[in-house]
Amino acid sequence: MRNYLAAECYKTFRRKYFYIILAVCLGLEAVLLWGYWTTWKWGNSNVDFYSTAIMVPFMLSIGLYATIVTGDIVFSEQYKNNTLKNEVSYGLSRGRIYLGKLLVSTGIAVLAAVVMMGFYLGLCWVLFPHTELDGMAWQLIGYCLAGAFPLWLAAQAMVNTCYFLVRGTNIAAFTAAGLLAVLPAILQAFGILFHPAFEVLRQFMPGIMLENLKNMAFQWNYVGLCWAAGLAWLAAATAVGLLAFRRKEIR
Amino acid sequence: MANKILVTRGLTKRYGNHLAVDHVELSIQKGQIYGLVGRNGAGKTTIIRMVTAQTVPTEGEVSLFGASGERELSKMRARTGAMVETPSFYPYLTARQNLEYYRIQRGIPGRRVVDEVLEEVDLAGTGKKTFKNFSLGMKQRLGLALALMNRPDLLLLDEPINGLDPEGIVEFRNLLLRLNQERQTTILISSHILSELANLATCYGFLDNGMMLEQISARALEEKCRACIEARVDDASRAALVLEQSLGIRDYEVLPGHLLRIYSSLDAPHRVAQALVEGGVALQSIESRGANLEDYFLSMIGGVRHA
Repeated sequence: MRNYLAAECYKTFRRKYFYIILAVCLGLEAVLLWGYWTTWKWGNSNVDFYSTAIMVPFMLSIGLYATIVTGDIVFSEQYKNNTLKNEVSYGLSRGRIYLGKLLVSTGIAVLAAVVMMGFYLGLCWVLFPHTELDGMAWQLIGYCLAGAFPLWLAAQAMVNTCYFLVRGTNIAAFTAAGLLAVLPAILQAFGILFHPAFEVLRQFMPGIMLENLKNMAFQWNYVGLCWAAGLAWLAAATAVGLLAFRRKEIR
Repeated sequence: MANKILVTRGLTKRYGNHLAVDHVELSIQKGQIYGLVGRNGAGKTTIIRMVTAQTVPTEGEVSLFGASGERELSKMRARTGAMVETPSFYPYLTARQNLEYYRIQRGIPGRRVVDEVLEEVDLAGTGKKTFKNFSLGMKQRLGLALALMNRPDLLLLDEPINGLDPEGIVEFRNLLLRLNQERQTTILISSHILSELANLATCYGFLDNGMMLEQISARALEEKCRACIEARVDDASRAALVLEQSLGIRDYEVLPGHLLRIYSSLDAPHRVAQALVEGGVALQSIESRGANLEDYFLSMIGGVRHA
């Protein structure tokens, strides 16, 4: 497995795609910060480290959908390029291939999140004045990240399942986006039309839990629930993906 | 059993109602160059894809180096090198980067391996050119480089000379022969270019409609295809006597059904006919025969109109 992970990292870090996406995201953050900095320079005293740093909890949903990109970066259009055959024909087990890519895409997602948050919070720290609320900002960010992490893991597992089971990259990406964004709305409609159980299930969808998280500051029970739900989705999505991929035709 | 590198037992693949491979029994011995012959859709690629785990057999089993069962087979596949259909690599990586990726993934020690194998297939000078800009011939060479990188005991090659220029085909053939002779690499090669297979193979398997029609050694095939005069007579013993006494022919054989195969005087069948008739033998038919791999295959599957 170690060799497989090392090879996936070798390939990923030689792909411009990863750096371009990261540069675009950092550029957007820079634009946002430039906006804050301009208003602060004009004399808006409400702009400080606290007010800018607490934007992070509002950006958690971006992390959820960014898993579609990190999954794609690592999966590298294997069906389009027909490269999976080089792996299975050498005797690499499909389990190793599946879990290896999931681990590397999770690692890439975490790395990208660290770089982006580090860049944003670092500049907030340098550019804006500090108040006694700084500590509160860090606590709030820490709380939200603690709850968001397992939900991001779940999203990454669901996205990777789509990439492994759907041959077309674009269709896989749309399916993943549909699972993350549209399914909760469908469950909500089903909850109203058919049975309240659908609404209960909706409340445990990663996107919905992530939305609720920032409105439930410092309710650690909810963070626990995020971990339970996140790990359950992770296990379920991985099990479905692995089972189906084991018998999938590789061309 | 120790000499059997690849064995399939009742190997079958069904896609819906279509039977792509039908209970194929295949056996490849160590050191053989096994030519898998069949027209398009005969099941050659499907067999190789089942051996390389790209597709799961509907029935039957594969044994590699004496091992069967999924876990054991996976280990043994690391002793093989495969090139199935079009060579496939990451388009945004160079030849060296692509091979380095697979070297790391497969845990093959030593970075020199990549340079050595690139030199072996004449791709050492491709530099920063990425795979997407390679010609078909270069792609084939890179596919072969990947198949050779782990110094395999068994090479599985599916239509490997597609896209190679004539010079490339000769180099490729020589490389395979060298690997077979120097490293005792066993090779399974499928191709529809039968003349090329005839230059390489030591054994053949003829496939049609997913079924293995015949497995035969190159020597036995050569014997079957040997040029001769075939004469059907009323009395084979008498005819043999006439051949020996009148024409001095000793290189012949008598087959069931009063059939004689004469392997000398091939340029004068009329003299043979005349001698037999004058010797009092009733000659029912006489014809010059002889075949190459292509003729043999076509006769086996029922003629050129099907090929």
